[in-house]
Amino acid sequence: MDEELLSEFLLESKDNLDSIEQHLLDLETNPDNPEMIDAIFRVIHTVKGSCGFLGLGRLEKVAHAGENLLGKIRSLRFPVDADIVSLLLENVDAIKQLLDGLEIAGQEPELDHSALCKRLAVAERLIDAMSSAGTAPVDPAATQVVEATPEETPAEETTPTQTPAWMKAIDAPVAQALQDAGFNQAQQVVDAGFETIKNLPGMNAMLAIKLMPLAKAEAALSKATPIAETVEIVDEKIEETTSEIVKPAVSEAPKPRPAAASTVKADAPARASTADNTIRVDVSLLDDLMNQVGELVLSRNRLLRLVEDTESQDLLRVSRGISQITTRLQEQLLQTRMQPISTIWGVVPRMIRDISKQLGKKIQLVMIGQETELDRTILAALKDPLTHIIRNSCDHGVEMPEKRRAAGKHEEGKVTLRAHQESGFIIINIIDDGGGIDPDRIRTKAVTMNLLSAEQAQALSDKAALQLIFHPGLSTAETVSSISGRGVGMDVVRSEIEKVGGTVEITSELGKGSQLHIRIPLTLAIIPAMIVISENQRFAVPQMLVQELLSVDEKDMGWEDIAGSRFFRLRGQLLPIMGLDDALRLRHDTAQHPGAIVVIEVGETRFGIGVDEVLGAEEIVVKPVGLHFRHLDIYGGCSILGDGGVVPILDCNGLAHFMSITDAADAVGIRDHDEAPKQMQEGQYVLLFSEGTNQYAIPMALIERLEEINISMIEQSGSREVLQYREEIIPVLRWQKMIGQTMDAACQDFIGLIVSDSGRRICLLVEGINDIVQDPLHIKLTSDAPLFIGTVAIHGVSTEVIDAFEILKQIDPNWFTNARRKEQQSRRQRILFVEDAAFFRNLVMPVLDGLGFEVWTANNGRQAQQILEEQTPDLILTDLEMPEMNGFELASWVRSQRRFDDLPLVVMSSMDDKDCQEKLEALGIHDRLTKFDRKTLVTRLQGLMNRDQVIDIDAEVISHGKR
Amino acid sequence: MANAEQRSGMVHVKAPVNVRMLTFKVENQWLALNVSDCHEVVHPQSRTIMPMSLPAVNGLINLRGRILTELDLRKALGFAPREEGAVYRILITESEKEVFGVAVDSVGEVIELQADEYERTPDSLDARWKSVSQGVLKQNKRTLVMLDLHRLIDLTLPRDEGAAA
Repeated sequence: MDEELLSEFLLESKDNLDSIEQHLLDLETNPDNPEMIDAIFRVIHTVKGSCGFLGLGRLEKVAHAGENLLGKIRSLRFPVDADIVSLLLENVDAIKQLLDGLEIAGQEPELDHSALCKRLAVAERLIDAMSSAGTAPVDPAATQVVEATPEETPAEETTPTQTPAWMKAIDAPVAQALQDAGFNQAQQVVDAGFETIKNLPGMNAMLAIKLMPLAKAEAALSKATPIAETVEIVDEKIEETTSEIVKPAVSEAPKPRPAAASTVKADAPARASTADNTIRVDVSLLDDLMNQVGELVLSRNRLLRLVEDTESQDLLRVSRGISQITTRLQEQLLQTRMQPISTIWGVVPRMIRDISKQLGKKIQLVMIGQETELDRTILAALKDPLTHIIRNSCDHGVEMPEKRRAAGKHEEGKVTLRAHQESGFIIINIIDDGGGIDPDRIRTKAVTMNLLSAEQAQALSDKAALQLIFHPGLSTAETVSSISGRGVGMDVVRSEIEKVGGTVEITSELGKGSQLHIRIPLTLAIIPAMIVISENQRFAVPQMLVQELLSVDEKDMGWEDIAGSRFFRLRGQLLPIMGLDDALRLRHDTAQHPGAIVVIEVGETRFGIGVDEVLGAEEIVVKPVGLHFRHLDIYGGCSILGDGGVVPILDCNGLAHFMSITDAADAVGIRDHDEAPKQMQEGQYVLLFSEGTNQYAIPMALIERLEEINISMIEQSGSREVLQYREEIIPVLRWQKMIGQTMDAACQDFIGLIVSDSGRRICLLVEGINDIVQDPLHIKLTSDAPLFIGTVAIHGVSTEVIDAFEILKQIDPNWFTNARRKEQQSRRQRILFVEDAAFFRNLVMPVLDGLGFEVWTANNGRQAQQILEEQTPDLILTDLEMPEMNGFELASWVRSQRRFDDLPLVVMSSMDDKDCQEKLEALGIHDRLTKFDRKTLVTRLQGLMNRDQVIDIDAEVISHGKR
Repeated sequence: MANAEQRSGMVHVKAPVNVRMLTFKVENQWLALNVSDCHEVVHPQSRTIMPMSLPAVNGLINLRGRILTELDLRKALGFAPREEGAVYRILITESEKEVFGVAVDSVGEVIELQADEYERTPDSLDARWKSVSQGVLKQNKRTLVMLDLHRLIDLTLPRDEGAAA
């Protein structure tokens, strides 16, 4: 027997059996729960199936008997009673016993369970007979068959002369003394209390002390039933709220799935079984581990730097290995700290209900993306701001029902919470369909509060005006709620979000509603940062806040001194500049001209930090600063760089406060000098670069990073050029080549635009960058050339706007279309394998692999469905008995989808009753295999797939090899 | 070690037995800290100066991947600053869950606390010293000031000094 298979079988079966024990007990309190029976059935069924395969006859027999009984209960929807549950528990015990023996001896122990099997069979027949006769389920006949009748009779009912059961543990004279005094039941003793008992004749304090806990325990036990009832009530409540959450979500994304309520219920057993596979770990341990791994990452970086120049191939290989493992370790460890956002959203439905009751409004809550995961520290930090925002949305956003009706809207307002991940960030939107915020009223308010002058206010774009609600000056309750906006402590909301490295923005359409847009990093532990130098000292600036980097010198035309302050004119706008050396008093002699400006945007403030030099970007592990720096808000933490040196991380918010740059009046006042056209504030950021005499523009949204690339860094892979970038190999495109110009061999250094989309990257090499500008991109001339969208004038220069998607397509025509049929021939054939038992998955996978298929696996029908929503395999191989969504449901869904018309579906299951046959026939499924038949599986699959081009693939592989 | 234990067995002491102190020196003054407060003694580490920091703070050091704040006992106790290039040692100490480096001029030996050498902090001592001393030890050739680490750290923190610069 295959050792590995056996041990895996043992492990999986034991886990499963442990979980069904609990399910059986639950079943007893809740006898007609079909999901629960399904879950139990599946486990026993899997055990039976596996046994058959492994040639474990005895075990199979016992499991089979159990399966039959369960199957009967299931198909007849027979409400189980305590006796049946005990019989089933006995069955589980027997299976466990056999498994234990198997584990120790490596073979099935000599145990005789034929009596049990007989009883199981009798019970099965009885159920059959009873339900066909229509008798009540709890029949004396059943108890006769089942010998194991509980013997315990309630102790409380015994007469005073008999010693009650619970007193048996007490010394006889004490028990007698108690009974003499009329105390028979534990509850009486507890009620009487220590003082009374102590003073009873024949008792003393010592005895009473011993007695009390016994009595209490007993009293608690006999109360167990009422307690269970309260639990149930609580359960119901939970379910009510959950279904409330699920319902709207389903209506948002209509997918063919069974009713929401049943989804919720079906989750319960599944959740319980995963709980068995999890352990609780102290968070501080994880934090420590995270720190250690952070160090490991840094050491790895150091190692890679040392290894760069080595000649030794072995050393290089080992280092790369270590590097990859470290990355994986880090990623997985980060995973352990992740929690779904539902942990903080859980309270929202209740909150909305309370608020709407309180305010007399009708508000519907929709939550999308509850499973989105975030680092637990960030989650904790987000809790309050989110609550605040949601409260505001209900309070100030959604209008009263009458008002809504008058405005022609549905009486019931809607608040939507949406979370999703987007390139390393989590985006959270809080959307209401309320009255929206009038930017003019905010302008007026800002002017009356002396935050802005009337001209400044007029100059402000609507979007910028809306952001003023985050300004502390506008956030007192009476001022803002009176202008129908939000802002009660919105400044606090913003600062809380910024504290965890996030940003928040508001958009609003008058009469239609408002939307808050929060963007936060996935994790705080490791962040990308810019390392800058000022007066020979290094500082780290979180990249999240860095808008752009400018290389400047003294002679630059942009410098302006206004009233003793330095400014730099950047694309027509004046940017206040804070010299880091000056701000931190790094030098004592006269301040020098910065060599570079780091443009920072925090909240509505934009400013530049003047530094001597920008060293580059590095991923850093954020560590807190010690007690001695906590009073300085200019430091957000510290970190260790690749060379082992410690570097302070600047807190740009604190720095701005420190230099009193955030004073909004100041910041906005600067716009007074604005000569640039107003629409400059709108539009998207584009990167401008030139090639020859032409200028090109590409949207910044697609560009992840700019890298300096020397020609030597580019490697050849086949006919393509590639670049090693962050442990990935990404294709390189040269712009010169793409626009058909001859390449200048003398040019060695390029700028690489790292273009990233849907998790993939390419590097576009250009000669030099001109600028980054915000431009509405009003295309004047549309272009016929495939690479371009059209031509625009940017700062008076006609600029060709690149169609970045077209470029991506040049690299990979299927960048956007998910594996379509046309490329079927050029790839391996794909099988979607749906099976809930890991044992079988591992058994069948090698077979499928061996046949040269690319195998996608799903643990149940639901997962399979999700895969099928996005991808199309060449064949589906599925089990029938599965949690969440079984094989029948999956099959009927697949058959209902037009696009899967030609998709062969093979069922592999040992279920062989007639009922099952009929169901399959009804679904038009004829390809059907028993679980154990490897040979048939191979021939059947080959037969089915040979219609497609298995041979073609082989041929192609061969020709490839010859080349 | 065995020697020290034998000695403590022979001498009859009234004060806490088995308290061992690490002795070190700043300028000409001998000082002592409870051994249990000290992790180790290390050579000068490359240090990052933190702009705008408190007067007694030397900067941050990287001790085997751990970032510690290095305090300077000279600065904390009001001695003249250490000369450039002068030899010094860093005591790695732990107080209230944070580990600090404390720069001292030199480190002596570990001594056993002898009851007959112990005296309460003299009233005449300078106020700053008095705030961090938990008594003095009079030995043949020298007098040691026993420092209270927690109070020493407090001394270097802004709340005692008023608002920070």
